[in-house]
Amino acid sequence: MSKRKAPPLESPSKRVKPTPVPTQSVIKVARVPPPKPPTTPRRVRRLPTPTSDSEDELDVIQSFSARRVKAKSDAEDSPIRRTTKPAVARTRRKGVVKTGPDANHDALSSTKLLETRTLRSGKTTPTTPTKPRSPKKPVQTSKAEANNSPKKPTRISPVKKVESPKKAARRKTPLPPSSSEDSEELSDVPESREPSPSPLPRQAPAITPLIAPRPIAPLNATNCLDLQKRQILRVLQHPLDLDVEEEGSPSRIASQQLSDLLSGTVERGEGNSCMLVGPRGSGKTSIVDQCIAKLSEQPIVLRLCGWTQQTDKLAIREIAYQLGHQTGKSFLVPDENQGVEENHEAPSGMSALITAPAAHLPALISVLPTLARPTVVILDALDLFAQHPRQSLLYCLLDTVQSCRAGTQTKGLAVIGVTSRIDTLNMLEKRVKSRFSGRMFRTAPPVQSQDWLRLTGRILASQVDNTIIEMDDWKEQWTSAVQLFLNDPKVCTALKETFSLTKDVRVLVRLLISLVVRLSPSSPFPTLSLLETAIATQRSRPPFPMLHALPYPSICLLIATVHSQATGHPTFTFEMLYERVRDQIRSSTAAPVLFHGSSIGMPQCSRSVLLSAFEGLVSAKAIAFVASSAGMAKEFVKYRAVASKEDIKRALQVKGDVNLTKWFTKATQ
Amino acid sequence: MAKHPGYEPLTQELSSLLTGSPPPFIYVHDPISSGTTAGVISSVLKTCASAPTPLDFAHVNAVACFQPRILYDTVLNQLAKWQPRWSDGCVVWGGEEGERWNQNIDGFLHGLKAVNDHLKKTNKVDGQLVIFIEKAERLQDNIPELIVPLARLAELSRLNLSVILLSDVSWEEFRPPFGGSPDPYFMDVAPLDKKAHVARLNSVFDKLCAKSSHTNVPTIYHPSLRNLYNNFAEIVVDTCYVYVQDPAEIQYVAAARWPGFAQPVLDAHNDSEDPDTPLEPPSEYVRMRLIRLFKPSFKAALETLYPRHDHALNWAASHAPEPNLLSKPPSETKPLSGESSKSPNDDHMADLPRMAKFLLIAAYLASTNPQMSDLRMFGRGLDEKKRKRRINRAAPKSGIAKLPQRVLGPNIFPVERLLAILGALLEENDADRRPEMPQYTIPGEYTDMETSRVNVFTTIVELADSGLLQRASSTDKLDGATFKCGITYDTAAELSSQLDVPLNDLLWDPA
Repeated sequence: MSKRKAPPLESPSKRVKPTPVPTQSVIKVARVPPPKPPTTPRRVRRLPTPTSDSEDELDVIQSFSARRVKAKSDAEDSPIRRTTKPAVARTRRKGVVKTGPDANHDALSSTKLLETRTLRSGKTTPTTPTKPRSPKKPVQTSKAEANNSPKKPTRISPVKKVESPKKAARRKTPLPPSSSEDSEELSDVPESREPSPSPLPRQAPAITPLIAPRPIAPLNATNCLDLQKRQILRVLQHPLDLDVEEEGSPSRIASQQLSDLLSGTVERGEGNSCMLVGPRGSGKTSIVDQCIAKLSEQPIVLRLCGWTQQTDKLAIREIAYQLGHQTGKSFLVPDENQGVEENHEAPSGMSALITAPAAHLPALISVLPTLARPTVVILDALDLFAQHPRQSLLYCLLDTVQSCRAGTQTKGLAVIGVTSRIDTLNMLEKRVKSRFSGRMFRTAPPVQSQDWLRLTGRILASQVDNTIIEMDDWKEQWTSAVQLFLNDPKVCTALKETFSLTKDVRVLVRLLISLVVRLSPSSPFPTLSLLETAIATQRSRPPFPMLHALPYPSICLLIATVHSQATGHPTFTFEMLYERVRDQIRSSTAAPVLFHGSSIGMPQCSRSVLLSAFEGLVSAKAIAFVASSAGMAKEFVKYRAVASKEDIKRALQVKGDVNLTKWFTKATQ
Repeated sequence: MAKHPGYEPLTQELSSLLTGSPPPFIYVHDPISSGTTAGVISSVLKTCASAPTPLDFAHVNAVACFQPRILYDTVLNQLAKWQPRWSDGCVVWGGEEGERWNQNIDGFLHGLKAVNDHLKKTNKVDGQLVIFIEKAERLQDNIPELIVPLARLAELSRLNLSVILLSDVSWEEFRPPFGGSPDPYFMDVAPLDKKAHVARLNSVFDKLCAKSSHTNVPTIYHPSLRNLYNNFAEIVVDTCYVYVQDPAEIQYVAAARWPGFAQPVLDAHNDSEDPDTPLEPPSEYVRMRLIRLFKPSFKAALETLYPRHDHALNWAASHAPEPNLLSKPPSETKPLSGESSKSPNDDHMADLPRMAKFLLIAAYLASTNPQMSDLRMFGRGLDEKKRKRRINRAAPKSGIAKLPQRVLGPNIFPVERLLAILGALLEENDADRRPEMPQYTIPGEYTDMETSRVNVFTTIVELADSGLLQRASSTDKLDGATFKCGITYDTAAELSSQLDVPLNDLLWDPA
C-alpha cells in the first residue's frame, strides 16, 4: 500500500531535491529484501499510457493524491512551506519524513521513518544525484524544525526508539508483496491497531504538544472517531453532490436546464412542464430540491407522490391541503383579500378548499396560476399518475400550464414529473401528451467505476468541522488511513465488482454506512475485511441469509424437504418429513459408537419439538402452503419448500455439522 | 446502557447509527428470536432518546396495528408522548385541536410534520424521529398498501426520520414489486451462543433476587443460590441449545424447572435446627446430587413446554420433587424422568364410550387402508393365507416413490364403509362380550343388529361434532354422508390397546 503512495512522490521537481545521503545508505539495505516486482512494472506502465482499465482506475486515485503531492512538493521547495496552511496532511508528513532522519541522524534506528523513506527514495535512486545534496538537505530541514518546534527531538526520539524495531519488522514484511492477499491483511492490521505510529512521525512539526503523540488518549480517539463517523453518516445522507461532479455530467446538465426552466416560471411567469427521467438513486429528487432552493423567489411548492396519492381524488385533496398550508401560513392572509378584489373565483376556491368535497376540487387547479406566487408542482413517480383512470389530474395540470401566458396577470406554473420509467411519455394519453411540453431531462448515476472510487474517497475523507485541538492529529491519521484503504487494489476490485453489479449509488451508500458504523476504537480505520462484511450483508443478499442460524430440528426438517423432493414429492406434509427425520435419527444412532461418553449420532428429537420447529419454519416462510387447508389436521396440510437445495447446502456449509451434511449428501431413500 | 449479553454487535451498530444520521430505512432480520430483539432495540432507542441529541421514537407492533388508522394514531401518540385518557374519551394527539391525522397516509404525513414541529418547540432543536415496527411481516397481511409509504417515509415527509422494521422474515419476502420501495439498510441478528444464554438467565436471576431480597423468608430466588443457579442455567442451556435458540423459550424452561430444582435446598434449610439463620449456598455434594436427580427432566420440560402442551406453572407443579428430597438417602431417590407428556387429547379418550372407541378405530382404518383392501383385510371365510396383506417394501425402480397413506393424511370414506368395518371389528373383538341373544342364529346377524342401532348413528354425529371425525360432506346431506378420520396414529394405537384390538394387523401398510 505504501508503495502505491510512493510513486506520486517522485515527481521530477521533488526528485532533484530530496534524498539525503544518510537515508541513501539505509535505502540500499532496505531495498534489497523487497524486490517488488509488481510495483515497478505498474509504475512504468502507468506513466506512459493510462489506457488499460485497471490502470485507469489506479490513476484516478493517484491523480487524486498526486495533486496533493504536487502541492506538497511545491511547498517543500519554498521555504515558507511550514507556514502554508493549505498544505494539509501530506505536506506536513513530507516535512516530517525529511526531518525525521535528521533528528535521528546519528541513531539510524528510527526504522519506521527510514523505511518510508526508503521506499520513496528507493524508486528514485537511480536518477537522483543523491550524494551532493544530502548534506544540504538535512541542514535545511533541521533548521526548519528548529524554528517550528523545539520540543521535537525530545518527542520523537523516545517514540521511535521504543517502537522502531518491531514496527520496522512489521512494516517491511507486508510491504514487498503488496499485491498478495496475506500481505494486505498484515499491513492492514498494524495500521488499524496503532493509529498513531505512522502518523506520529509525520506530525513532527505539528501543532499538538508533547502529550498528543502516540498514545492518543483513548477518550480523544474515541471522540474523534465518533465525530468522524457522524460526519460521514451525515454526508452519506446526500451522497451525490452536484458541485463536485464534473462539468458536462448528465445530472449537471439536467440541473442547469431545470433551473433555467424554473427561473422562467418564477421570474417571467411562464407555464412550463418537464419530465425528469433517470434511474433510481441518481439524484432526481435532490436535483429538483436544489433547483428550487436556488430560485430567487420561493414559489409555492406542491409535492405529490404516486405512491401515496393513489387516486386523483387523494391527489387533489393533498394539493388543497398543501396549498392552504403554504399560502395561508406565509403571507396570503392579506394577499387573499387582494385576490378577492381582483379575482372573484380564486378566493372562493381558496377559502373552500380544505372543506370542499373532492369532486369540486379540479377547479382548484385552474386557480393555481392566479395565486400570488408562482407555483411548482412536483409529481414524483409520474408513471403511477399516468395509470390513473383518464389521467384527469395530469390533463388538468398540463392544460393549465399550457394556457398560462407569460406577461399576463397570472403567475407562472411549472409541473415537474419525476420518474424512473423511461417509457412514461408513451403512457400519456394523446390529449395529455399534446399538452405536455415534451421536455425530458435525464439524470444519470456515476457512469464509471472510477466515479465510484472517487465518490468513496470523497465521502470517507470528508472532514469534521469541529475545531478541537486533538482533531488535527486525528484528521491526519484518518486521511492517511483512508488513502491507504483506497489504494488497496483489493478494495478497488471489490468496489468495481459492486459497481458492475449495480450502478445504484444507494448500494454504495449502504456499503459505506455499514463500513463506517462498524469502526470501533480498537480498529478505528476502514479495512478490507470490513468492506467485505459490508458487501456480504448489504449487496445482493441471498434469499435466506440466516438459514444456518436455525436450530437443529429446523435444519433436519429442511434436509428432509430436499429428500422428499428427490423422491418426486415436492409437496409434503409434516408427517412425511417427520418420518424421514425419525428414520434418519434412528439409523444414525443405530451404531453403538460412543465418543467421550456420548453417542456420535444425531441427537434425539421428539415429535412435538419437531412440530414446533416446523411451525417456526412456516412462519419464517422457508416453507409455504400449497393450498388452503380448511379442516385439515395440521400434520397433513400440504406444503412446499421455499428454501432451495442450494440455500440449504450453503447453510450446512456454514453450520458445519458432520451428521447433517452426511445426511444431506447421501442418496435419498 | 442496559446490558444485553449476546446482542453487543446489534446494540453497537444500532446506537452508532442512531446517534449519527441514521439511514431512512433500516431492516432488521432475526429469524430466531425477534421478540427478544425487539426488546433490545427498544432499549437502545430509549438510551439514545436520553442522549443529548434529541431522538423521539415510536415503538409499535404490527400485530396490534392491524389497521392503517391504528398504526397512524399509535405512532403519532407515541412520538408526541401523548397518553390517551379514558376520562376525556381517549382523544388521540391533535384531536383536541380538531385535527385528524389518521384519515389516510397523507394525513399521517401531515401529522408527522405537526409532531415534528411540536417536538421542535419543546426540544428547541431539530431532532431525529424513529419509528420502530416489530413483527413487520404482519404488515404484508394486514396493510400491504402501507409498505411502500413506510419505506419511503423520510422522503415523503421530508423530515429527519428513520423507519426500522424488525421481522423474522427476510426482506425479499415482502419487498414491494416494481421497485416501489428503496432497499433498506440491512442488519442481521446472529443467534446467541451458549455463554450469552447463560448470561441472560443469570441476569434475570439477579433481577428477581433484587426483587425478593426484602423478605426474610428465603425464596427460590435468593442470592445464596446464585451459584447453584449458574450451574443449573448452564445445564439447561446445554440441554436445550440444540433444539431451541430463542432465549425466551430457554428462559421459559428454566423458569418452570428452577422452583422444583431449588425446593429441596429450601426444604433442607427449613428443616434444619435453626431455620432463621441465613440461607447458605448449598455444598458441592448437594449440587451434584441435585443435578443428577433433575437432569433427565430438563429435556422432558423442553418437550412439553416448547410446544406449549402445558404452561410453566402447571408443569412446575406437576413435576415438583417429593418434599425433603435431600433428607432421603441417595439410594432411595431416583432421577426424575419427567415422563408424563401424553398429549392432552389422550386423557379425554379414555372417557369415550366403548362403541365410540370402536368407531374411531374403524374410522382410522377406513381412512388409512385403501378401499380395495377391505375384503382382504376383513373378509371372513376366506383362506387365512390370502388374508395376509401384501407387504411391498421394495423401492420402485423409477418414477415417483409411493408414500403410505398414513403420512399423506386421512382419506375420505362413506359412512357405509365405516359401518362395514365397524361390523368386522365388532365381530372379531366384541362378539364374545355381548349378552346371549339366542334369537340371532345366522353368523354375523347379531353384529349387524348392533351396528344398525340408532345409538351408533348418534355416536357418529357426536364424534363428528367433537372433531374426532371430520365431515367431508355438507351437514344437511342425509344420504351418502362422507367422513374423514380426525385422530392420529398414536391415538388410534392407544384406543386399540384399550380395546385389545390388534391395530397393526389390520393396517394395510403399517409403520
